[in-house]
Amino acid sequence: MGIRCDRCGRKARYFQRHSGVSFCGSCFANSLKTRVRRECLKSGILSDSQSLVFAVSGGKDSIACLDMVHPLAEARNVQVAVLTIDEGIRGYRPGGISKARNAAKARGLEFQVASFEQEFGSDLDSIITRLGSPKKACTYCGVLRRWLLNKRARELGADMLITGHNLDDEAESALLNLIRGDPARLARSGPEYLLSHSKLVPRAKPLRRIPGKETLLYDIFTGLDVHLGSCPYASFDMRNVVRGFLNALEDTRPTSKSSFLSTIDRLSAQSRLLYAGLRLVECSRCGEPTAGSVCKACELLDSVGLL
Amino acid sequence: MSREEEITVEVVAEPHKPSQKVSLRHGSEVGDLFGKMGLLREEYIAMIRGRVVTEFEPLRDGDRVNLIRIFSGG
Repeated sequence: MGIRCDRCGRKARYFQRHSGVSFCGSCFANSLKTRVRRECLKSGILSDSQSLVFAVSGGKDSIACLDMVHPLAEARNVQVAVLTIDEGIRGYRPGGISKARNAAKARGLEFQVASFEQEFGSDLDSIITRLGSPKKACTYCGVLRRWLLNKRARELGADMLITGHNLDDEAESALLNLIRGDPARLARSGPEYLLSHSKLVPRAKPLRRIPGKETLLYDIFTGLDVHLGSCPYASFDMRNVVRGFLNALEDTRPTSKSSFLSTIDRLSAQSRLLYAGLRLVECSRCGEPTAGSVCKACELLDSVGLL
Repeated sequence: MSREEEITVEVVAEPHKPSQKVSLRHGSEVGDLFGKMGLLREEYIAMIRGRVVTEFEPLRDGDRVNLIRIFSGG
């Protein structure tokens, strides 16, 4: 028989361990929409923006994010476009691009693909070949993707870039930043950018308090068509080790990730004072915003002979 | 535990890999299956007969349980 939904009494499909509440699929989807709407209001996404660009990979998080936030934006006449980055990962990325395109089309939204090949003259697979090892794939991919997302979102006229980062992503990044022992990284762990610049599009993460398991459940319960593949380079990332540790912790003590992120947010707000005098300037090579004279993207591209 | 007190379920944990048979005590729930297989509840969604089920769902002899891994990214 199983257990019943605490909201409507139908058969429960999900037991939310961190709250102790049981949900049927429909009540769970509604509850998630309410939480995401609250996060949007809190972060000013809906009140401060005229034009949003959603970074959509086609995976479980970004599609769920688009599905929940787009109707809220539409109701306030905020312009919305979908941007997908094609890093060039054989056997993985094409599946995601197709889902992202379908999601944009189904909602009547402008859809753009920006590729590493087009922008940097080389796709990620070729960069890995140049490096001779996939160990640093996520570093190159992450830095170049963020650089490209910001540039294209700005060109699309966005006043905010929306990403589908979830609670798992945020807790993992925060712990990785602590492990790396760099206080500047801790200051950058907060929900917003530490510094502003006319060429830096502010970003928002409406799902940053939602566990990855819950975004996938939302996709299943609402029938969203998402790409479920895993990146072939992900297994080489240190993030995997951190993810396993945090999941084991959450399994033993539900709310661990959420409490950890709340603590990090408070510490991050405190440590921002240390960087009050820091300013962003334009990179001397590409002109994009950076804290140093040359941005990280140019530094990495230079290291593989692409500049 | 005698044979009569046992149930056997078929578990599909990876889409392109063969399923595996897991024996459990009669009256076991999905959460017990996770425990027996050493899997974290945080990392999988369980489905039986095409529907998502909670960790408290009772298992019946012969049930086919699909486990969907929560991948990061996307």
